[in-house]
Amino acid sequence: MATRLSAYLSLAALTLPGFLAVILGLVALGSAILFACWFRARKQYRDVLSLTGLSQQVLQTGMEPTSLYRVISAHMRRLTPHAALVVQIEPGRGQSRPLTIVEGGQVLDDSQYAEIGPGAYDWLKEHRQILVVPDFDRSPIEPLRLGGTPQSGLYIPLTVQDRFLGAISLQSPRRRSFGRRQQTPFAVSAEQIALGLDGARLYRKEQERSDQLMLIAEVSRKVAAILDLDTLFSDTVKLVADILGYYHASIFSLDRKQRIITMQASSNPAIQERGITVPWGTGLIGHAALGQVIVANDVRQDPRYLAHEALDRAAAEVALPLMVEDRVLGVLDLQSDRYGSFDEDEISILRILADQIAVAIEDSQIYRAQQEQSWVSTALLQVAEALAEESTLEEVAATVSRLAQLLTGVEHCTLLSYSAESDEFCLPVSGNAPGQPPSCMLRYPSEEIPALKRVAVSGTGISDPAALGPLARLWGNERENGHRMLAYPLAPRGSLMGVMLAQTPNSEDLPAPQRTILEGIARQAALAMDNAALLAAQREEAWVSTALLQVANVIASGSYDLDETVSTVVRLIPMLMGVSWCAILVREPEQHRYAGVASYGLTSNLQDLPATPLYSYDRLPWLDDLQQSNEIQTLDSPMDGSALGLEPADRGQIETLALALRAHQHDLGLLLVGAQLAAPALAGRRLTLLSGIASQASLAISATRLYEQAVRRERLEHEMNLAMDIQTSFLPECCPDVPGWRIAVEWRAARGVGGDYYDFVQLNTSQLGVSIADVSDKGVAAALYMALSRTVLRAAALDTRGPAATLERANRILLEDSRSGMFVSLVYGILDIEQGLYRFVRAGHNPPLLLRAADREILTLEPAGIVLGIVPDPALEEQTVELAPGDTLVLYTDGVTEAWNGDEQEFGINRLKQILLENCSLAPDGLIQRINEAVYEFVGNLPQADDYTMVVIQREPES
Amino acid sequence: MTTSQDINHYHALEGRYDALRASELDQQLQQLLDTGADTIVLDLGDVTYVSSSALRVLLLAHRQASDEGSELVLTNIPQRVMRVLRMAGLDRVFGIRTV
Repeated sequence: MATRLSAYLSLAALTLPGFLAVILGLVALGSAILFACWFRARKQYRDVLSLTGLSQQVLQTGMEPTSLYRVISAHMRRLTPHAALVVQIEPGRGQSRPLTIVEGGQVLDDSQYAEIGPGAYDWLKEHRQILVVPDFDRSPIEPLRLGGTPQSGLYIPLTVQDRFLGAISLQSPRRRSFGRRQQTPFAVSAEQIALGLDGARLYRKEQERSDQLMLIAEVSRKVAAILDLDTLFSDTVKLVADILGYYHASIFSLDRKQRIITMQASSNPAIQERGITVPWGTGLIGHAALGQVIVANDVRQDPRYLAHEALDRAAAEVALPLMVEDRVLGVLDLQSDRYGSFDEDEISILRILADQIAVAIEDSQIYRAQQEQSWVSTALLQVAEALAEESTLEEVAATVSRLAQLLTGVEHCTLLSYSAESDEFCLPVSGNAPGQPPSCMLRYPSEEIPALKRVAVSGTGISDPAALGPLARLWGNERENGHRMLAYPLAPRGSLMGVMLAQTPNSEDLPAPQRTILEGIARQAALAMDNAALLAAQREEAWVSTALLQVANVIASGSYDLDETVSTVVRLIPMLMGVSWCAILVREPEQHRYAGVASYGLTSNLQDLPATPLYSYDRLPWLDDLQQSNEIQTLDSPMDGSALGLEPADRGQIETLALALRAHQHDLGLLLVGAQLAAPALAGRRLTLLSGIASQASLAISATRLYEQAVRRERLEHEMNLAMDIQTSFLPECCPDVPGWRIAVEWRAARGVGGDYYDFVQLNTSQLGVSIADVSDKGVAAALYMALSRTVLRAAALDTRGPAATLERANRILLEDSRSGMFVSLVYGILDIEQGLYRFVRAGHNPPLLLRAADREILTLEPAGIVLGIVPDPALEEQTVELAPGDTLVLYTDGVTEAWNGDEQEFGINRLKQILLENCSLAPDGLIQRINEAVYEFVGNLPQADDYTMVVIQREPES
Repeated sequence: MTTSQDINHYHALEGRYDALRASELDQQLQQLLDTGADTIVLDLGDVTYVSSSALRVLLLAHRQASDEGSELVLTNIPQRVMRVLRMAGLDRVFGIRTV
């Protein structure tokens, strides 16, 4: 261009006039051009101004149909006259209808005016070019008939950067109203309108998005404020449905173990009521539970969709996993009644909402867990506090039962104590006296309920009622199998003390916190049980000691009276032991029997009976078997009280125990005790106590007996001493001094007072009565009889002539008092001092021996005769022997010849004779000494039963 | 006391009846007398010794039996015991049955 202009200028410069003319011409032309340019520029400026304002105006309508129509209509009228203006806007996602605006300001029914013109809209959408229809009659495009008959039309696409936003059509009643030249301003206008629309749509969308975010924020804020999980679920679905305007909202929770998804809340009350459970991996929700957002913008097209009859208008659905980090806590499910409702924007916003809900759920769960934890802690603290106050097993059981029901909602809860000794479980009854072990309302041997023993070992619960055996009837509901039975072992220090049983109110497992509390209660119960047991043991020990002390005191403070002692013992035992009855049988070994001396709790007590009942152990040998036993024996019928005629006043099932009473290895008797079977078992410490009391009683009985014996012995000794004094005073102070004779005597009583005696009676100057006698039996009675017979004999001797007559007379007197059965054997004779004759009779006595010194022989003098005091006629035969000088007459009693060496051997008459023969030269005292020595040598230390008497008379040998 | 006739009660004694065992013998005999037997036969075959105390008991029982219309009879008397009985002249008092 510059080159060409310089070419013209160089040409003009060649011809100056021409040059000037050219200059002027150029100036004129330039002016004209400049004007034309200015004019066009001004119009363009005005158009530009108008168009710039247009996009702003469109934008400001905010897509509101009436305002949008006004702006577009006003603009179009400025460009060209037209009969009808139609604007159709491409629908956005989620919008089902195009926005159609027609001249007249009315948005008309879409069914009638679905398009700006049949065929035109799609053509414009495809070609993105202005379409001019000069004559509808010659065009395939159909006009929109709005009253008149349009002849020509102009169709303008609205596009922004290749995006088709819609179209505008103008219809005119005249043919060729829209020339091709007019296309440019329309194109520019369309561009501006499209820009405005796009802006408005964006703005609107942003507005919506912002509104939605606000709503979500509001939902989130509200959701976050809810701590209770159930409230959280129900409020969330309501908020989501109400505020975000969905057809239906629901929240599901997952149970991974059961692999089911359970609806927690629904915005639809009917569905909330009925509930929904979705199997794992099925439906949209089931898929969402795996961690993916599942969208179905047209549920009819999605095979995963599961229709719900209450939600018949559901068109689109989105299921959003509620996730914290990578954990799926649940699913938020939203349904819309419009197809295609859930575009990406919406989904991304809903994801935020889902995240918020998930966090809220997690918070709520944590809060709930904390709440539960704190509740559990508080509850267990209460349990601990409550149980710390209980000191007996029954109280512990009652408290545990009450608290378990209160805190965990179990239907029943009870404690069974376990006894390793008997290997049985026991349901304790309440109301025991202190110091007594708990009695059992029901006993369950552990072999009957093996399941319970297993629980004790493994600590697992029982849910099978069949395994419970008789325990299933514990709460009287064995037919209801729905309940679960939970059992917890109570083993505070490793050893099983019992089991806590709880029954759930229905077939459901207890919720975790309740289980935790129940476990805690079991632990606390075990400790409390242990404490109670220790306390009970302490109490019992103290009680046992006190009781024994009482028994000892009572017995010791009593007198040494057997009846009083046994009466005290039989009264004390029921008081201390809670037994029904007790009795004491005292053993009387000499009579082979037991004597029932005292009882308590019988219909008629032994001490009240007119005669003491006697039980021969020859006939009831088991009595003596019991006596020999070192242990407490349980008696079965007929070997019990009933066999002895002991009838307990307390009727009912009674168990009889027998304890041997023994002290210092002496069998003293039996203590029989009867206890009600229902009463606390006689076991453990109570048996120890019973044994203790029995020992005390034994000692007391033994002491009493020893005392009685001592008293008796003392009395006897006293009597004996007295009798001996009397008897000794009867006996001559040894021997009369008879010239030509040597006399010696030996007299020894076996038991203090003897039955033997000897006597010398000076009848006249030449006659000496000499007697030796042996009264049957020994002791005081014998001594008295001896005194009697001696007196009688003396009197008779002095009164009569011969020895036979003397004894016959004495016999008559003795027979008069024969009730005692006493008799006396004797030898009585009259010694003629001068002639050396001994005329005598022998009344059943040992025959006298005559030792003849000259011949060194012994004569046994054995005339007939019966002891005195038995028969009226003792048939006495008189005999007379002569004693030559040196001869010795030996009178003796059977104490000498029958001295016994314990080896079934007697000293015997032959030994006596032998000694006499060997010592015939000895004087009487020497002889007696030798005999004594020989007898002593024979019998050794063995105490002799018989009196021992000798009278030895020797005629002095001639010197 | 029983009224039935010809009831014999046989009882064997054994051992050494010294003074210490006299009361035991007394009880035994008392029990025998309590049975009301017409005849009480005491077998002394195994008796090694009878003291005067024991004799007294036997005599008492003998007398009680006579009083009650029954009889106490001794039998199978060892020589040693017989000697004592003879010595006391009681062999003429007791009813003695030879076997």
